[in-house]
Amino acid sequence: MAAKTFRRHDANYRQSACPHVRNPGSAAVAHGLPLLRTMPPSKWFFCASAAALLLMFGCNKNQAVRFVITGSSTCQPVLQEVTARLEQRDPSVRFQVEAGGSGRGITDAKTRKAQAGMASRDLLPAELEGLTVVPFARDGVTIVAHASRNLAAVTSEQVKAIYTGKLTNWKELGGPDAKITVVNKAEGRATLEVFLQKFKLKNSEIKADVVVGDNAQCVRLVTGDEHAIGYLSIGEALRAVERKEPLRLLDLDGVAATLENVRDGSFPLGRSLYLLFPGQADAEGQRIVDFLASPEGSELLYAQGFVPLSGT
Amino acid sequence: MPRLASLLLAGLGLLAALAAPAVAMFLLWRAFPLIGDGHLLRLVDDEWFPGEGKFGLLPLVVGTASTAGLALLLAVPIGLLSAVWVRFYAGPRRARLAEMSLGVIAGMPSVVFGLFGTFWIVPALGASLASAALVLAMMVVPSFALFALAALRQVPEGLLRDGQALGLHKSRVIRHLALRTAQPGLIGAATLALARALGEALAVEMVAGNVPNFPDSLLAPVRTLTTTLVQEFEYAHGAHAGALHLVALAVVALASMLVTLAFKLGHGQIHAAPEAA
Repeated sequence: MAAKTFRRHDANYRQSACPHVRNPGSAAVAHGLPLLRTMPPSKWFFCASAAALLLMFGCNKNQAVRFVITGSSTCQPVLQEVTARLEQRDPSVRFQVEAGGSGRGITDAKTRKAQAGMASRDLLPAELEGLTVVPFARDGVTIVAHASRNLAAVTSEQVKAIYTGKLTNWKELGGPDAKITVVNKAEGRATLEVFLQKFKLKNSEIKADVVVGDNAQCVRLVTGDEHAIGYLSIGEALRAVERKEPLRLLDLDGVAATLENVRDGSFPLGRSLYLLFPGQADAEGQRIVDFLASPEGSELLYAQGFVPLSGT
Repeated sequence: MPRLASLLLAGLGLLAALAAPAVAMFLLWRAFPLIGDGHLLRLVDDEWFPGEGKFGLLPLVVGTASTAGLALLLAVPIGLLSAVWVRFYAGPRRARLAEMSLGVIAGMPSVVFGLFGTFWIVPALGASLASAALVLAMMVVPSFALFALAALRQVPEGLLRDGQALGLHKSRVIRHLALRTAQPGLIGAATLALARALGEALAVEMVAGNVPNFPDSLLAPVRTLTTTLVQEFEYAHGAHAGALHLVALAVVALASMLVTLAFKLGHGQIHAAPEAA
């Protein structure tokens, strides 16, 4: 009796929760009926719950978005906006944009777990294999300090000395007698890799006081500690300044951290943002690339603090 | 029908009991890329720099143990004193009020403690071991006090009256009779507090500095096992991701070792207590 009601309930559940799966495995259920009657209730309960779980997961897969993009958290807001606009034009294609770092973007694109990856650093030769790499914007990484600091510029040598623990006091930078709080990025972030590459450092050589996860955390830390020095994406830093946060972008080797200097390539700590496609970009991927190259795409990139690549 | 109900309950109980081994198995399975490569020895190293292939868990374990241990050292005296006050000294209205506020604080999400720490503790102490221990202590004091209070309430009233009848001062009754008899419960409460401190990730990440090193002072930054998961998991792939699963496994192992220990200690005391009294 109990078994019967439960079974009916189960069938209902199937139909309502998963409308586009047409009666999956109904044959199996029919064949399984005599077996179900002889099965002890405990086993039966387990089988039923297992089946329900399987169905739930199966359902999710079927309803899943058609185009998944994963990778760099620097690129994620841009792609989120781009895909939202593309969805508005053609609601039949649904996009899903997930941040997870450039490393994950590369892996996911390679293993075809995602239809496209995002990366905010150059790919290593080994990583390039089997991928179509499309650069779509330039970004810079800027050194930042608290706005109350009377410091406008640093040199590469100074940055290197600060991060390796050879220059530890603000006095040596013309500030008060106070220890510098060195802010570093967590492992796996592209910003860290760009920084290490530029200054030819290994992460184990860096003597950090604080390790932060994302750009927002870096902003929060540096604006909350007037002795701190950190580094983050120029776009993100400019937006924080726009919000009137007490943050100062420092000139690096005499070049101001502005979008203009990133665009003409004079800013020394620059990087490209890439879209990665497994094999060739398919129609949907091409739509994203085309959008990013369009005037509307350029405008959007500028609004997010990135420099579009003209002529792509 | 009762048969079905009991089977259902048995099934659910079994599911709960199997959850821990299942989680451990899952973590081991996911960690396999690292173990399979024969890199297991790399885990007992004193450097955690996944970008350079250095997966030493030691600084993380030391960070976890030092923050949680310090937090417990701060939380136990405060929590115990407040439980004693509520049980033996506060009037009924104040006791109710105190218990209610302890409950409210115990139920606060950890991110609130993290924010409090960032704005009030970090400016004074820096992102450091001391800040992390303070924030953790604040988090575990209320629940520890509530558990301790429950243990104190289970001490038989008659025993306390006996003490008073023998002319013992109230403070002696509390110290020698109440606390003594409640000891197993108190140890259990402390263990749960320690387990929570070990497992807390979010609040610690906001105040600890997260530099994977061996702290040489209270004001040095530390990184714990769980904050490593918070900061790196989403961004990890390959061997790094495998290592992070082992980090998670280390947390599970630490917590289960603690709980086992508490079980053993608690039971030993429960049997010994009546004889002592």
